Amino acid sequence: MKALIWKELREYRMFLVAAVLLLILVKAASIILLNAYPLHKDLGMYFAVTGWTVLPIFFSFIGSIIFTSEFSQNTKSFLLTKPCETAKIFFVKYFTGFGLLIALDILSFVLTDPSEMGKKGTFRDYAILVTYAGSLSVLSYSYIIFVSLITRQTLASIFLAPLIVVPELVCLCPFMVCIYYYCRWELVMPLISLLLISTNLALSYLAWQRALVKDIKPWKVLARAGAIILVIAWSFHLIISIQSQLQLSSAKAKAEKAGFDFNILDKLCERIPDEENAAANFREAERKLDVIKAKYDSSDMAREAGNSSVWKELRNFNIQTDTIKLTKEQRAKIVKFLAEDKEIMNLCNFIKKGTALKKYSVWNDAVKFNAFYESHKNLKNLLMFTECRISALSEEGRVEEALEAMNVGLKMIPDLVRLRVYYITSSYGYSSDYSNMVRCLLNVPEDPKMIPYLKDLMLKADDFKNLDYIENWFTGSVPMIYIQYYQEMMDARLLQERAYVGFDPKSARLYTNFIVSPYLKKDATSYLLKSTSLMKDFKNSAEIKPPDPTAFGEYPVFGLKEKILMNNVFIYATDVFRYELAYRNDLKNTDIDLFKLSAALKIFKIQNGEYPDKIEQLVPDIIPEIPGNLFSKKRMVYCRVGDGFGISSDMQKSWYRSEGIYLDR
Amino acid sequence: MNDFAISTTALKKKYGWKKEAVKGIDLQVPKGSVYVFLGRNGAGKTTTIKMLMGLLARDSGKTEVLGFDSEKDPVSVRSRVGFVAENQKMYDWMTIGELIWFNKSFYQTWDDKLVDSLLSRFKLTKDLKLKNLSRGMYAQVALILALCQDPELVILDDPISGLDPVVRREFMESIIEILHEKERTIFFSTHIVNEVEKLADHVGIMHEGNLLVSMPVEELKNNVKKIRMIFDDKIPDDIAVAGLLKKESSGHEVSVIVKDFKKEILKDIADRYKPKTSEIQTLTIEDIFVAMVG
Amino acid sequence: MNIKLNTESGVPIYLQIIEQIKNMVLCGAMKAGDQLPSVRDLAVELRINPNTVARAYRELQHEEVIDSRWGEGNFISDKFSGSATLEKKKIIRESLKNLIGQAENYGLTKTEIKKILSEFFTEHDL
Repeated sequence: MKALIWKELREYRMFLVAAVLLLILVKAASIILLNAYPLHKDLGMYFAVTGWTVLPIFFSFIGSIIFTSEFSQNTKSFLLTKPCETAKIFFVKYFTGFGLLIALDILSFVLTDPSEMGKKGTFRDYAILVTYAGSLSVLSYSYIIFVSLITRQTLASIFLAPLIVVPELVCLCPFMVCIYYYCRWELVMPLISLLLISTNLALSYLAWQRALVKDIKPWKVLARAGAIILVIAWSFHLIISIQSQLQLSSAKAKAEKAGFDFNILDKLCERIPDEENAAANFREAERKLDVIKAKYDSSDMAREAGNSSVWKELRNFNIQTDTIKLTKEQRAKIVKFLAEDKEIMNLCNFIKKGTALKKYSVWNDAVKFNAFYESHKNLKNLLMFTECRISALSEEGRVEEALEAMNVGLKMIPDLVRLRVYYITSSYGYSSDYSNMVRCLLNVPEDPKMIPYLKDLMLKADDFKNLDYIENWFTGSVPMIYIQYYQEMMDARLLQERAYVGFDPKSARLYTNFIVSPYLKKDATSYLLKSTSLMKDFKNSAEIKPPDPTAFGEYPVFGLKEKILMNNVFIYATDVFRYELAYRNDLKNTDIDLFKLSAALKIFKIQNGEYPDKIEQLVPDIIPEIPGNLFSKKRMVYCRVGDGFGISSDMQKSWYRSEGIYLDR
Repeated sequence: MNDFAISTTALKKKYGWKKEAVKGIDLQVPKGSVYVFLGRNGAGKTTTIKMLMGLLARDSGKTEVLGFDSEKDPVSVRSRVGFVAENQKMYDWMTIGELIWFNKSFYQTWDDKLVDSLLSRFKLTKDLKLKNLSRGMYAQVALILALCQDPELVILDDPISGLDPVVRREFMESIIEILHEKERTIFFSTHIVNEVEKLADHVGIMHEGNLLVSMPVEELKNNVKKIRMIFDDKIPDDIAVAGLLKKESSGHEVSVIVKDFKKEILKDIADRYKPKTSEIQTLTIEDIFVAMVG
Repeated sequence: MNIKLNTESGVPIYLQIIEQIKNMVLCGAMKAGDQLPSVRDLAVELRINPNTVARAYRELQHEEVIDSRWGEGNFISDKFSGSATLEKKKIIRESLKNLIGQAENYGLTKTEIKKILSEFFTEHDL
């Protein structure tokens, strides 16, 4: 065996030397060029990508020569007449090439600084990067070897190898999805690579044995092997599908036995009165928004937008974010569109009329769990669209129209908050859309004409404080169980959907319904089982006393909720809920107060030329009294920050969102 | 353990759907013999040899080499068989010394002294690179590798066809040398029949996938004879003899080559056709071969 | 060793070797006590199977033409030289028989053969 390894290495020492020289050359080039052009932003990145991706893949070509030249030089018959198991010959070749590849890769990684790719950081980050880059290289090697054993050529196999990838991925799809489902994200790519590499290794061995010794035509080997893999993988999928379906059915049976009512949502809907035409009107608003989007999609603004992440933001009319680098002309164009387009005017008038957004109508749809997300998403789109419009109008100096649009936006926010109620089990809190509205507000140009409108907004804001919610439905713990169940189901689905960015809906649906569905069912099963056990616990624990909520500090909700949910003792959920709702109500009202204060501050600036030093200066001309801080029971905290101001309900406790607005205008 | 170095039973091999290369042969090569394997191009010799070495999978039948099944245990077969194939491509980038070292690592028995003596006989040195060698020297290196393995059986698949007479002679001499020391079997497939004529003690002839004959040389030479007849009058037009392989006639002389010769046949011919004189001639192996497959 | 083998003659090789060695002794090329080449050397020289050489040597030994001394080699024995005359006669008679046979093949009568022979003997003072 020593002799075999020696032979492989000796035969290709020229290639090895060339590879090392190439590495040194690239490193030298990178040092020289980076010193010569220190300001070139992407140069460092090019070198990093070369060293971590391009070169390792190139080295995989070298490893494969070890096999293919045995064929092209026609020495394989000599080697095979030696008293050595053909399997041994195969493995020595394969793993010698493998070893060479790994050595060259490591050298390349060591010589290249990955920080340029934005991956500076912990050892863990570095390890993950190494694993990914190494996996890619080894994968490429395994593919080229396999194809070379079929084609017996070096160059042809390098070009044909990519053709094998897609069919293999399709065949192995069930296993890959299984890995993706069960493993942490850092392990997914390495494990999938491992799967593919082992498959390729087995296929290569098969090709070596059969095509070489038994003299079976290579394409026959390929066809047979492919058929076997297909059958194995999809049988696995069939088994998993059947198993997950059985699990789900049995979980459903258990749940029903424990008292879980799958029809509860429909029953709830019966309780809620429907406003006339409300649902239809909401849908009409959505349709109009789609028309506008389609118009925008086909305009030259779309064409100018270029790459897809920029386009996605723009498509949602999100011109405020920092991720987009728009030129002045591009921005002006979009702004003009938002300010003047006829369809847009149409939509805003429609929303202004208000019938689309009556509280119960939206809630009616939202009660069905799929629609939770859909309605929320669409409403958010409408709101974002409106915010953009407000900014655009402000930029154009059309103050009245901007403030009108603000009314529209303000109308939508309470419904949005209501729809967010399903987030009740998530622990990362509740974000405010009011701050966006305020930003819009403060973008409006400083013109005395604005003052009456601003005052009007302040009054309207108070109206929104007094909307009521259907909280009562939430103060029972059984509903809480359902919410949690549906919430988690939807989160799972959300995660899935997020993964389909770039797919068209049809293939995404095919993927979900056909390939991922066993795993969605497994998720549903686990959520259902959890809910069932919660329900059982609830029924068994009538005697337990609720804990003292103040025992957990000033903001009892989060700490208590976590503890309770982790211990699965659900009886306390009712009280938790009430606190949660109170908390949310407080959040909402605080937001409205912040909005009012911001409007008042703006009025002050218009009148006096700059923001006040102390917030008390607003009283009593502009605002009758400064609203209190509902969280710390103190006054709102205000200070001037540069050209702008900062205002907050509580400036010190910042880990979970203290509601505050920091602006530099 | 039988006394055959090579033994096949109903060995068959087909390429594709139609081309039957080997149609069921029973080849038996006794231990210690020098067996020459003859056949025209495409008769199936190389296919058979490859199956013996386990380089090709057989379709059906058995192949047993030195007591081991070629397909189930090819490693045992190859570790005891020295194999030299025609135009065997070896690693041209290696030097002779490196190639010998590489080759040696595969075998448990290896004769270093023989290596040195053969190298000096062929006037080769260990530092020569294979790619710089002439065709003859290349073949010699291949032979060294096969012989120095101290093999019980040496299989040669037409290694001398392309070599000049000097190299050929040295080749044959080396083979004979190792033949002398121990009981070794030589299985030699070639077209240059006269070179092995003196060496062979067994012969096998393949023709279109069938093994026509496989027997000791003496027996073959007694079996296939040329009968030379001279006639006073006109020669008879048709001469029908059992086992007739070939007929030649010129003037008043007719020669027939017959197989399965017995004295009775001669008597029978003499009675039937009444030649003036008739004599029996022994043929060389090459003549017999050409008569049988030509 | 000056042995020429004829593969076309139909005579087995080992017999040819035996004949030619005997010939060498008879015409004095090898004398009693001279050493013959080893089996290996002769086989290599003639490019024939060593078994064939061994067989020839065995036969020669049987006919007491050669002696095989263990550890030393094969030597011409003096016994053959002694019966050389007998052997020579045997060979010449064999040749003559072949000659007569050939003459008969040509269709010569016994009288004609005798005539040719006596003419030949007169010319050569025999």
